Amino acid sequence: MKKIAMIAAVAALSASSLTMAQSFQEAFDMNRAMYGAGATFEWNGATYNTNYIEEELASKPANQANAEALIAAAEAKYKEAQEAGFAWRDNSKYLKQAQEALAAGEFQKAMDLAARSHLQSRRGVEQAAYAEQNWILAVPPVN
Amino acid sequence: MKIIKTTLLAMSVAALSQSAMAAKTGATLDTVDPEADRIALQDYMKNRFPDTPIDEYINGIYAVDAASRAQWEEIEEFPPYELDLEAGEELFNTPFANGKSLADCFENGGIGIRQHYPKWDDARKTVVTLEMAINECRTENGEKPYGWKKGPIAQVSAYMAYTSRGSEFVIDIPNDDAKAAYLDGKKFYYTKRGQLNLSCADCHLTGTNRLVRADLPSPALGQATHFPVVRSKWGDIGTIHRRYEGCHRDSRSEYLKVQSETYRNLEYFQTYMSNGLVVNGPGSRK
Repeated sequence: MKKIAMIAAVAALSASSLTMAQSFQEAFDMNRAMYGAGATFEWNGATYNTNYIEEELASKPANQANAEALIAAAEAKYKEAQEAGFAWRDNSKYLKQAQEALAAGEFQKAMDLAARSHLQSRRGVEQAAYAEQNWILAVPPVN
Repeated sequence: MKIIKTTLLAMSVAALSQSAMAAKTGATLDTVDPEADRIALQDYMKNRFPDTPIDEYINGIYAVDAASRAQWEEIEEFPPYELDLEAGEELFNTPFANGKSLADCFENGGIGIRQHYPKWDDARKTVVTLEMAINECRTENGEKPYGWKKGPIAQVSAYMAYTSRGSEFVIDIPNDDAKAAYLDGKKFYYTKRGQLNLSCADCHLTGTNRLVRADLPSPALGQATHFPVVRSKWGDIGTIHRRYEGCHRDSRSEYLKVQSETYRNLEYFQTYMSNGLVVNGPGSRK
């Protein structure tokens, strides 16, 4: 009986430790939801901000080199999302608009649009990884 | 030492319980069981709508929502697909320039065969939909293919479906290659995607008969039986792939081309889920 209780406790602990390994994302998501971009939060003794990587990239100086670099990154991420089969509907539209803004010399606008496309593609890639592990949970169980 | 042994045993139990769950539910080619999936879906619907007989699911949302059904029955008094049926019959019987016709490309002259489509083509290792077979017949006989989503392709398909009305779907999954295509379609159906993070199942399984804005999504069971359909929103007749494109786009995904392999596998899965239900296409829908 004692052995069974021990097994159950360790199994439960294994499960909870797996959950704890994901808690940075939970902390980030919670702080982002509560405070939006530009805030900071503590996690495991260190300080982090609530910005998405795309917001960091789009806040660099607005010039041609930075706009081109961000568009190139967004295009690469879009390709990755497409290959996973999880590109979102408006990604290509934002990229096209970013290219048009770049051609017109509107560098900040180009960077904002490319950042938006990059964020959508990144989310699509994350969605693909999540789906691969979890899609089966939606199937009605066999009785 | 004893504690270490017990710990290892416990971790094995935890790992085994996870793999056992995956084995039961059919996420891999080794474990997927189409017939168990079909029965599980029927059981789900019986539980959700205990007063609805299984054979009623060919009528989509009209099987489970009385108010929608009353409107639909009024519409069906003068079926909006009647003219398309006549046009489809005429197109079906019009000989090609080489003297042959669509009837020459199908078993039984193309009459009463809808219930076997989509079917697995083992030589090409792919799923062949009825619309694909119609267009392949045309091109093999020197004719231009029809457009894929509406118009003549849907009219001919509607006529062929009409000749099968009342026959039970008998979609066959003859081997592991076909089962892989079925699994691909099943996975697509249950996978969340797009900016709205929606799967087909979100609307048509858990979300069926629950308002999505002003719409009530149809049940997942029997969705393939009544296509092609005249949709009030379209104002004309269209194929099931036209609907796939719309649904996929509505989830804010980058949608696929109609008759792509993924959509054909999806149709294969969905129609297998309709096995045992009768063909009632063409239909009319909101």
